[in-house]
Parts: sequence; structure tokens; C-alpha cells
Amino acid sequence: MFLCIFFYNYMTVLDLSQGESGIIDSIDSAENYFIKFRLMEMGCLPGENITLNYYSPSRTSISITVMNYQLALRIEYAKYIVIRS
Amino acid sequence: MLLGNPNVGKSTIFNKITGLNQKVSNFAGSTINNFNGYFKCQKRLYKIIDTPGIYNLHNSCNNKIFYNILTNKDNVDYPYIIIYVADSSNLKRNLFLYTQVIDLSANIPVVLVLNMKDIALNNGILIDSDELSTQINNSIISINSNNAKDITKLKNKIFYCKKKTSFFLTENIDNIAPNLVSLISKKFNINNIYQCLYIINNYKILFNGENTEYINSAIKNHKIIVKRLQVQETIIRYKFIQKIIQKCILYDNKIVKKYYWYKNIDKIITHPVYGIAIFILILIIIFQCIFTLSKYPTMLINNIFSTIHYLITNNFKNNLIIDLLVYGIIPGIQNLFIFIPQISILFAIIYILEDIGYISRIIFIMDHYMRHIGLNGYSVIALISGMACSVPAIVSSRNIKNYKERLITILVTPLISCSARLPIYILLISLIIPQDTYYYGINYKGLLLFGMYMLSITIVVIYAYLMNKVIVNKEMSSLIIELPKYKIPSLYSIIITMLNKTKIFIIEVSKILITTSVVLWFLSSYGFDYEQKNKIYIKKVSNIEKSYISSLGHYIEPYIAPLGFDWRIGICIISSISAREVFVSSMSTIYSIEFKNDNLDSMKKDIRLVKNYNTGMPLFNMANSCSLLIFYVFSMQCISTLIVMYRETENIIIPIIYFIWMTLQAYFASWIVYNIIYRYFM
Repeated sequence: MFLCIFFYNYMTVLDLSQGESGIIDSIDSAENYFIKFRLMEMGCLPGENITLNYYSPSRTSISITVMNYQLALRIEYAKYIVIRS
Repeated sequence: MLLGNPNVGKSTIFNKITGLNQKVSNFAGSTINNFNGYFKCQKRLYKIIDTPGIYNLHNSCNNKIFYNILTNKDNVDYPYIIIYVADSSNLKRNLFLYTQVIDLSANIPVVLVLNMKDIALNNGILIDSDELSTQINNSIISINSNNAKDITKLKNKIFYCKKKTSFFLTENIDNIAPNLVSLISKKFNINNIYQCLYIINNYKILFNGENTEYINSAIKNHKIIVKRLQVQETIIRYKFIQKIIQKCILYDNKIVKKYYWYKNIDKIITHPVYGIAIFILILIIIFQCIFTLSKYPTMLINNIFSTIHYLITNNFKNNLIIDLLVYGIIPGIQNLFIFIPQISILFAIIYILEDIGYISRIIFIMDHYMRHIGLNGYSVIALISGMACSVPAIVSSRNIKNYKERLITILVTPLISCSARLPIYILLISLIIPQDTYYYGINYKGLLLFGMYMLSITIVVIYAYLMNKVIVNKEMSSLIIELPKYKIPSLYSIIITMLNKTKIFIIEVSKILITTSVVLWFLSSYGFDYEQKNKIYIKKVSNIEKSYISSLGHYIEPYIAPLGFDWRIGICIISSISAREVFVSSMSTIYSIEFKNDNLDSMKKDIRLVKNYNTGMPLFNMANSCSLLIFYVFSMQCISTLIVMYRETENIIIPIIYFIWMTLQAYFASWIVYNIIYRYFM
């Protein structure tokens, strides 16, 4: 199971470098539908373009661009956004 | 009724349409404030309600209110028309809430307002309004809220808006959990499918008792996870929106004006060192502004009042009503008005910061530090708006989903120095530092005031940290926030917001203030008549020492003497239990009676001349001014805050314990300060 993730080339927003863009593949929050709903509602839908803008001073939150606007969220949330490789 | 996402310019449109005709009232059957205003169009008078910006109807903090207003025809606020404001440059996300609103409010006509069309154009987004209008089968207007002609167009659009026949916007929305929906629709006799779906999602908030249990068991029987329904709904809605968008939006990359400059600003503002330095610098500037900008308006107000006072005393004979007016009501009102310039400047600055888009960056920067003390980035909003008034600040903490973080925010927000403490601070600071002294252009008074705010922030940090250790909760905390594009706020909007908020502040405060002034005037002008026994003990007294208030005050004097207060300060503190700002006006009411002098504007000088009856020293010295200052930093003297606290926590014990604890703490803190300064510095 653990190895599968490695072979599958599992990439999240956090693997992007600052200023780089990608396309969202899915929101992989398992059973936590609350996070999934919150992220989707704010525009993090599969197929959307996503750009990582910058980290917060403490590096615990990031700023991303989806649907042509800026969004700020914590790292714990951002790690669920899976990027198409 | 105005609806829409946050940061789409709803309040700008609201200000432009209504101008100064704004009021604050509660939503029917709730305690949540809304701004409403009136405007006239083609001889018809409209009432317009501004609502807080939301992203969806499900998890918004006020979803019960929205549900009741949009579905219940008997509700007082049931809207005739909904004006849905959307940001043209980000139509996709804005249409999400729009489809929800259309589906839920079956019979209400909706006007879709595409705001900020100029920004969209600069981003190279071209919207085909006619196509969009046919696609969503509704009237559309594309405007720029800073343009006066567009506002008139919008008004006309509202006038000519047709009644909507009930229809269902989003396709396939009825495919989510059809069995459960039909069950609910039979049980509550509701035809609207989406309304049933909405009930399933939010039954815990909308209903109580039997109905909750019924729905709960129904959900279990059908093996449905409620949150999953929301995800499904979101996907269906966005699919539907995507179809529309593809047909009516064109992206033209040639006309894109480059917006790189705001990314550079972002880099500076969110920088680990500069960002926080800028934040502190802005706070210092705010307090300097409060003192320096308000100097001349305050002088003007003072002069106006002393002229009125002079005219009344010279032109009318001395009778009961004039006495009441001159020594009871006028000092009370005057002391309310003296602080209006300062408070309105604070309102204006907070509005400007919000409109520029800086506040959400502050949340972004501060979130990490806030989490260390058990708060959320959103708590920063509560704390900053708590500088104006803690009542709306506590209500704004509803944005925080986590119960523990929310509770701590609610409990620490009243500790932030609110605008009601400002008059007291200003009065006491001018007692501590009599002259305007400058040090390299920095006003000492402004610096001390800044220090007071810093002190309150430190206390907040300590308390939040301790509470974080005590309260245990493992709910997940969240922070997802939009960072809006920087924009320059319009001067008109700033002025209108400032005036309206100030007006509302005056109306709210003056009710308590005038009553207490009159009561105090009576108590201090009349006293026990000891010479005629067994008769009504009312007699007009010439000296305040013989009045009711003095007898009352002497009872409490032993308890407050350790803090360096005499009975008059004691009376002022007691009278300000209902609302802090009463303190200053009670002072002036008591002293104006005592001195019987005609020149009211020299109140600060008068206070310095007051002698303590026991020692013969000036009543206000360094030690007890400071201890009074500290007393007001800590004490919880605001009934409305306690009431809001009760409503938000739904627990009567919390505000009671909180009040007792805060008062005790204020007492001991000021006792310590008084003793230290008295022993070592005097």
C-alpha cells in the first residue's frame, strides 16, 4: 500500500515550486467530506488550473490561485489537493 | 435584499443606492444585526437589506436566517426581489451560490448583477450577457459600482423586474438521494426538492426536538452521509455552471493588463520581517491619527456646546427643566459628542483596511501565531473589529467553525480596548500627561494610548494561551480564505460608511447615556431632608455632599479606597456597569453640578482642581489615574457584550462567571498598580 503511493507518482500542490502551475486531479481527503466540500466550494475542482503563489511567513499556510482568484489555506488542507502529473 | 460572495462590492452598491438612509435592525426572530436602507425609484419606495457575504448556503454562519427569509412567505423580511451581486472577473465561483439561491427561493425574482465589469475587461474576460441571460433564464445587468450612471440603471432594472414563475435551475439536482427527499417532502409538505435537500443537510440547525430525531433516523435508515451529499451537490452544480460558462465567456489574452504589481506588494506584506513590521507600523499610525486628526473637530464641538450652554443659562429663568437640561442632559450629550471624531476616524480606518484587502492578508500572516495561543486566523478580524465594538466582533467569530477556537475568541475579544473605552482612556491620559508634549514629532499621548492597546493585546495573548491549555477539544480547525485583489476604496464609500456607523453608534449609546445622566442629575441634586422627620425625604440640596448620591457613595467608599478612588469615582464606576462610555458623562454630570460653573468646556481643568475631602490633595493624581486606567482595561462593564456572549455560547453561566471574574481581576490589578505607583513614584 505504502509503496503503491510512490509508484503512482502521487503529487500534491505542495510539491509545486513557487509560481508553478498544475491541474487538479482530485481532492483526496478520504472520509473527511467536510474538507472536500470546503475545497470544492471554493473552486478547487478536478480539472481546474492551480498555481502556488507563495508561502506565509511561518510556512504553515500557502496562497494559491484557482479560478482566477487568490486563495489562502493551511498546509494540512493543501496536502489533500492532488495534482495531475 | 442584497446577496452575494464576500468581496464582490455589495456594500459599495448598498452605500451608493441608499446614501445616508441607513439603519441597523435585527433579522426577524433573531439577534443578528443587518444594515438596511431606503431608496426611491419612480415614486416607489424600496427597503433594501444588506447581508453578510457568504460562499454557500450550507455552512454559512447565518444559514437558519437565510433559510427562513428565503422560504417562509410570512417572514417580515421575505424579499420582493433578490439582488444577487457577482464579481464578473470570477463568475464561475460566484454562480455557485447563485444557483443555490435560485433553487431554494422558488418564487422570488432574482436580478443578477455583474459587478466590476472594468476589472473583468482588464483581465481579458468578455461576458456575453445576452447569452448568459437566456442560459439562466433571468435578467442580468452588468455594472461598475463606482459609476453613478450604472447605479441608476440598476435601480431601473429593479423597478422593471418581472415576477418569476417557479422553476428549477440546476439539472440533475433531484438525483441526489431521491428516496429520502420524497420522504421529507411528504412529512413537511414541501414541493421544492432542493428545499428538502437543504433540510436534510441542515436539520440540526433548522429544527429541534421531534423533527430532528425523525430526520436523523430517516438518514440512518437510508444509509446516507450528509456531508457526502454536499460534495455531490457541489460537483453537479459546478458541472452545470461549466456548461453555461463555456457558452458565454470568452477569454482574450491580448487585452490582459498585467497585474504583476500586486504580486510584488504581496511579497512585501507577507514577508516574515517586513510584513509584521508593516502591521505594527499601521497600528501606530492609526493611534496617531486618532489623536491628531480629531483635535480640531473636538474643539469645534466643545465650542458649540459651551455656546448653547451660555445661551440657555442667560436667556431663561432658573427652573426645574432648565436645571435638568443644563446640568443633566447637556453634559451627558456633550461628552458623547466630544469623542465622536475619534470614534468615526477609527471606523473609517478599519473600513479602509478592509476595502483595500489588507485585513485578509493579516489573517493569512497571523494565522500561525494565533494557532499557538489556541485562536484561528479569523480571530484577528474579531480582535481588530473589537477595537471598535466587541458586540459585532463577537458575532463575527461565527466564521470560526471550531468550537474551542470560537469560545476562546469570544472570551478574549471583550479584553481588547473597544471604542467605548477610548473616551475614558483619553480623559485619563490627559490627566496623566497634562500638556501636549512631542518627542521627535510623536505625541506622547498617542504613544501612551498605543501602549494601552498593546497592554490589552498582551492580556489577550496570555488569556488565550491559558485557556488553550485548559479547554480540550479535538475538532479539526480550518482556514480557507480568499485574498481579494487590491483595490483603491472610493472616498464616497468611506465617508458614507463612516457617517452611518457613527450615526448608529450615537443612537445606540445615547439611549443609555441620557437616562443615566438624568438619573444621576436627580440623585445628585436632591437629598434626604433630615430636618423634617417622617415626611418624604426629598429636598433640593445646594451641596452635593448632602445629596442621595453622596449617601450612596459613602457606603461604597471603604471598598474602593484601597484603589485610591473616592466616592465620586465609585458612583461613576457603578453607573458605567451598563456601558463603559457612561463613565465620562457621569463624571461631567456630577462635577458640573458640584461646581455650578458656566464654562463646560474646561471639564478637564475642573477635574484637576477637584480635591479629595479626606486629604485635601487633588483628587486625581498619577497613582489613582493610572489605577483607574488599569481598572478599565480589565473590567467587563458592558451589558450588551454579556448579552451577546450569552446568545453566542447559549450558556448563561459563561457570561456570569466572566463578569464576576473580570471585575475581581480589575479590582486587584488596579490595587497593585495604585500601590506600586503610590509607594515608589510619589
